[in-house]
Amino acid sequence: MNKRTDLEMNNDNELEMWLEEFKIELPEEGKIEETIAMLHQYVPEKKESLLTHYIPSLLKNAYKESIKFSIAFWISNLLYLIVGLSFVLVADDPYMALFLLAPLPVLVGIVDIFRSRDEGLLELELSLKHSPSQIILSKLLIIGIFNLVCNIVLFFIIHFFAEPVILGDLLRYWALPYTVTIALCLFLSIKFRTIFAVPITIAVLFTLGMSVIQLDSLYAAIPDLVFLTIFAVALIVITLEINQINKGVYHEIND
Amino acid sequence: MKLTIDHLTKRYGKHTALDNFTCDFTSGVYGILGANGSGKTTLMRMLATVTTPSSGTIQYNGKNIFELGDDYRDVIGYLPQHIGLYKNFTAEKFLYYIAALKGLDQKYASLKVNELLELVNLSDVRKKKVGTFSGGMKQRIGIAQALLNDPKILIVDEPTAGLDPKERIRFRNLLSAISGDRIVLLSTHIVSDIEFIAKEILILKSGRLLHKQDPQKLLSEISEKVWLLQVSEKEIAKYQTLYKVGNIVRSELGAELRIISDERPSPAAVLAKPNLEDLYLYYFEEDQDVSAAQI
Repeated sequence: MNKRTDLEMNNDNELEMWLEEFKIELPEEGKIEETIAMLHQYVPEKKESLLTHYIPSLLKNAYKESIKFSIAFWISNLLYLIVGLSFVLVADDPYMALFLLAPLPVLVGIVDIFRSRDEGLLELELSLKHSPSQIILSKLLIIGIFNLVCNIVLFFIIHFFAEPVILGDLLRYWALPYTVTIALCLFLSIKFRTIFAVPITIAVLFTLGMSVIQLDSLYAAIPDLVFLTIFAVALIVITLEINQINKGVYHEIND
Repeated sequence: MKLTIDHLTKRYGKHTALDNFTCDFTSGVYGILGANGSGKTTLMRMLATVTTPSSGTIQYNGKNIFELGDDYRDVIGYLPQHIGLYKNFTAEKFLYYIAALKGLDQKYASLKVNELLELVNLSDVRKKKVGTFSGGMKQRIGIAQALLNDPKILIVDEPTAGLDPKERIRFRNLLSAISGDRIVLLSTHIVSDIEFIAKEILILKSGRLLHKQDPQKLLSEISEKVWLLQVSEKEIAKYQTLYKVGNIVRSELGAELRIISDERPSPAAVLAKPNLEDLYLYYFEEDQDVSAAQI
């Protein structure tokens, strides 16, 4: 029995020695990493199309983001349409409805845009793959597009059920207050919490609106060029603010 | 897998929060120990790309993390010190939301959300709004979100704050279990959080890295600085004024003091085996959260 065991052991040793020749030591982790890093340069990079270059993940995020908007945003847009419609169909002056109501859904949307910062989630979101700037811009995109669709619907209704839409009036009573209000609200929201920024903007909007109602003839007498200039300035301000958001200025301010 | 930090400095105006910090991290748990204001959170925030350094670099496998951008954020999981949550979101919805922002696809996200809710013991409250959660539950949901993308680098800043002892042990074991093939950076001022799981402990003080060593080596440095001394009730106050006193165990004979001192506080004092609590006391002044270290 012992002899057999010795024989077996000898065979095992012999086999082990023979197999030793084929043994490959596991390289150190550092060497594996170095090899991967070295080979990485030869891995072909995925070509980026022009479209994905200029509209990175903004549109891809937009749909995902839309489902996360608070119900207040969707309700305010719906209310805007309903109240706007009733103004068009009942009141004499649909343009004042546009002046006072059109920016409101966007203002509600801005609360949503800066919600993560205002609720203390920004710190976490800054570390995620999609940065808060991307998130904010994609939310702005949704708000802008959705609100624009609502406005176009309203213009059609005004045009066909109230009075023909005149571009000059649209500029005075919609485009101008709309862009100025958004520019002001974005400016304030970048610097302060939206809980302050939005009410201040609404107060400014309604003060202006009431002044226009009181001094409508004076407002109507202002040349279109003045309105166009203010409109252009407001658009430039909005662009600059979007650029600031893109750079993350809104969160570095308290850093 | 390697994270290399080279002469990292962060200044806020005239205040230097982190000063010339240099070190390397490979797989394993690293405990970053320091009192409040020692620069732990600043370091964690830079590692999570939440804020940028004033000077110095952080490289992941040889590439600057701020240049890697999305590619780096793709491999990290971060639990900030103060995590905000959307109060009207349910636990499940919150995790799906974070999963979407981490760029995870729906199927994988669904799998991970279920797995992690189970792991952090929140499966039964998955449909409850996080606004109704206790501090410990919020912390657990925070831990779950950090693990959603199966991160290679896990950065957790004071993760056990608000957890009860049982949850703390559970969390510690969880970190230890997942640390095999990833870098886990855990900042804390609670020594028991890292005592048994840290591969290395980094001691930060006033923004500077004092030590980076394995716990045993660190402890050996104070092997002749921890003393046990039997004193009478009347003498306690005197020793407390003269030395750093870690523990006071009262008995019928008086009290046994655990004193941390470079020199023998009394001829009657005998050397004791040091622990991390002693180490903490040795490096940090008593006004810097000693009480927290004693948990």
